[in-house]
Amino acid sequence: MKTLLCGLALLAALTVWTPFACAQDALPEVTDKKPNPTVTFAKTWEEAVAEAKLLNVPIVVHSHGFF
Amino acid sequence: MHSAVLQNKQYLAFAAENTVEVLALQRLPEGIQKKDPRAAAYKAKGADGKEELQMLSWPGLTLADIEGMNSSKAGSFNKSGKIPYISIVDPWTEKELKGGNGGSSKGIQTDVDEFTKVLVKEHGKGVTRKDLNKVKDAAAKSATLASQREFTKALEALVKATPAAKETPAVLTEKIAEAKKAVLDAAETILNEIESANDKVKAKKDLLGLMDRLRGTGFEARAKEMLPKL
Repeated sequence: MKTLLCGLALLAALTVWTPFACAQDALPEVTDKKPNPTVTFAKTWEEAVAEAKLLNVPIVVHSHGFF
Repeated sequence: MHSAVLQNKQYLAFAAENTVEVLALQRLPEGIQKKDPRAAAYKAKGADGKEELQMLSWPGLTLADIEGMNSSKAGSFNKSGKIPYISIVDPWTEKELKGGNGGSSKGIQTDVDEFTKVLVKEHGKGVTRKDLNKVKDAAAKSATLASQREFTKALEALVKATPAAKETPAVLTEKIAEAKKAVLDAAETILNEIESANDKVKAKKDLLGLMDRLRGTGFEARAKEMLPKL
């Protein structure tokens, strides 16, 4: 009984995590298009904080997403 | 994605001088998986000069950069559950000064100007991005030149980047001093290697090739003293 329950739990975990894992591994499609001029983004939070302190300006965080 | 702000010409010019811009992008792997055109990438040169894939909608950033930033503190400000969300953050406390869904580029500029006044009052005037970039570029150039044993040129690159203003901000002079120290350390390491080399013929050839490239480092006399011993 215990083995069966463990097996079911494992199966449930795999069902939930597999699409997520695939999404994590996805690589972007490469295009020949060139980007439009856009603001220059900091590459890391630490870099952003350090630079904003040097310039003594606020950090503007743009939150977006694929919903 | 919110191009009314991120690609607005006026905002681009404003941000270049007055803000540090950060992107907290959620669920990018899902966009890639669904082949959303906004999640496409293009080939570009990275900071190290090597080719890398940068995201078409967010040039300069790779998939790893975006995922890393979203996992950092930057990803914690939007608690609204909606996008777009703009946060204006104090770099000294890393706390949100103002946040909200949407927002126009003009509104952001007005808020940034107001908060900058407070930051200047609390911490003094910062350096300009133009001067900062000049020093950063010179430091990178001097490091490359030092790796090619071009120590004189490396030091000259740093002298050129030193702001002409009488009162150069301490942060910039410190950055230049750090870069200069790195050049001098590299020169000293090379001299030590030549001095302790077993192949004295090759060492002498190396040292002769280095003589003109040590001008300005303070190691010229040492190099001259080493020459007859090789």
